[in-house]
Amino acid sequence: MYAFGEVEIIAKIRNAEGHISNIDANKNKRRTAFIKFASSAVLLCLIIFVYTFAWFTMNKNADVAGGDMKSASLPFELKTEGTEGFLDSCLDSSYKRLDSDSVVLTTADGQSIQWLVTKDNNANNYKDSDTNEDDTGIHPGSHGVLRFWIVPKEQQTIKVNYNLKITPYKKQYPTTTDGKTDYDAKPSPVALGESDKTLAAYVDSHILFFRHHDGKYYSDMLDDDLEEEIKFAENNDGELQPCEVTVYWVWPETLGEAVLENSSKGVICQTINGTNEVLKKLNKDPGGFLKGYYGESKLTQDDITKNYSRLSIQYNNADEDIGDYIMFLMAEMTVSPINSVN
Amino acid sequence: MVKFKELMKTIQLKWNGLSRSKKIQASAAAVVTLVLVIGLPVFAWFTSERKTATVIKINAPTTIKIGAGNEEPVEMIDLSNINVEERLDDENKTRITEGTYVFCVTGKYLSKYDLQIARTTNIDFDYELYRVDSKTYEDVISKGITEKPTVGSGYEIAEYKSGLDGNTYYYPYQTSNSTDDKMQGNVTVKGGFLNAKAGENSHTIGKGEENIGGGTTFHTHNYSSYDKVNEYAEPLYWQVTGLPVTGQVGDVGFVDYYVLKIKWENKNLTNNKETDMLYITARKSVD
Repeated sequence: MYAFGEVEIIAKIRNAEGHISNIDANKNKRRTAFIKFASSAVLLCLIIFVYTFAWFTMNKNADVAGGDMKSASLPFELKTEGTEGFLDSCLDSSYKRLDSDSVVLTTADGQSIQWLVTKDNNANNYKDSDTNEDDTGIHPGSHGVLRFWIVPKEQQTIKVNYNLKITPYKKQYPTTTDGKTDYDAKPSPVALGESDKTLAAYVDSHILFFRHHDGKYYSDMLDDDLEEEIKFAENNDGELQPCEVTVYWVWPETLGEAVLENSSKGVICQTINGTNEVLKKLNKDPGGFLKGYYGESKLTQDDITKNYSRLSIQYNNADEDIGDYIMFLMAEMTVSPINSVN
Repeated sequence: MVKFKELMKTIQLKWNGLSRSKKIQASAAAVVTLVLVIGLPVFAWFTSERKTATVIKINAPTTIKIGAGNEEPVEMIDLSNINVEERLDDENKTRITEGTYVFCVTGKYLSKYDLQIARTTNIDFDYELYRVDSKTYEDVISKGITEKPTVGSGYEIAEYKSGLDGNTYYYPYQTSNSTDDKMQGNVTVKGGFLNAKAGENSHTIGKGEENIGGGTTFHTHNYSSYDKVNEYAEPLYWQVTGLPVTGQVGDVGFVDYYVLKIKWENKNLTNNKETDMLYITARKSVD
């Protein structure tokens, strides 16, 4: 038999246990709430950190060296001078166009600009009141220069990468009401498709762009990427001056002019350190250089000389295809900085 | 560390407590958040470059040219040594009073073109230009049958003997005047002289009077102010415009055949004659 006091104690203990379990429950509830709060806080911190990190490195490069984060700002802008190329209305709206003066400059929010042309700096796309429309446009045998400037910011010596992308557009003629193609009407430009791979290869291998020309030979082909180190000159006040970058473009008229160093007309490229840049390009894809080519996958100058009449016709036929089907090319030069890790 | 373990345990418990669909939703949400969190700032890194661009026109190659019969190269056209004293091998020994010479205009991406014949006028020949009927006699022309075909009335046949393969090709043409569509027949009537010659002893062509003097643009264009030019050496220009393409080949190409007829009927000519030069030019119609 329990005494009243024992029952009271038991009851009190029971109550206390209930109270404790209440407290526990509350504690659990608070703990859960705190965990929820803590994990969202952690996630929020992570997001803020990553975004601010991105803000610091937007338009800049970040180098990682042994866990250190070092960031440098884009050390240049691009500038072009002159007037609009007469087909530049075909450029999409992302390209900043000429509005006043005769200069266009890239900026952080205008990263793409129109490549302006002048009378002696063009791709046969310069037109003024004196220019005959027949003199515009390129064909085999055409050559010239296109120039732009790299404008320095603070760094005097920079390393840049040039990437020149050529995008061809082909002609599409409208059809008349009776289903025939109307060749008298003006064609409209159409991007090349999957079935036009060889045509694109002809354009890429026949219309060439180089960084240097010594008066006779072209060198440093702008095919994919080309790196260059630039040291900006200083004027008398110690200010850094923009660096002129000249791109030489050429469409060799014959196969001999393109690759044969014993060609009577004069070859455009010499063999330097065992490599002739145009021959190297030919051998990357002979079928995309010569129309209907079959045979060896690596041609030497001797091979070409021995089979010259056959191969030359194939070169000319590829040129004829370019002329027949391609309406115009969009030439895009992208300049990006290369940072050294030190 | 302990708190971290507890945290993980709680998350684990919570996770196990979720239904399957809720688990899927939670993982999907977490993945998307992660992708956005990583993707957006990385994209910002990729725009560290500058671009400039221009548009370059490609000129189309020549898409019209002159050839001989059977689409052979223009060098195969032979107008030399025209024998004006030749006679037929019949009992009357009938004089042959004309010669026919086949040429073609070939190319692609055209619907209409102009033809011009420019020549000196030393020899008193008459010239006519006929269009070969490629619609009615398409098989004859394209297959180049080597037997002389029979043709309807109103037609004559010009022959071309190929120096390349030795075969003879036949080109039927209507002799009546061409109608306005200029698609066949005698197209001489559809063209005209660009410069005409008049004078007592001048050599006429077709039905034109020829007038070459210092005032015309053609003379000054060819000779500037020099006026001591033999009148028969000065070129006479004849032209027909807007000839439509009739002989389609494939999707874009065409071959149209013509017959140049040179006549000396009722003219007092011998083989001891002078030499003329004749130029045939074709161009895409400009209007």
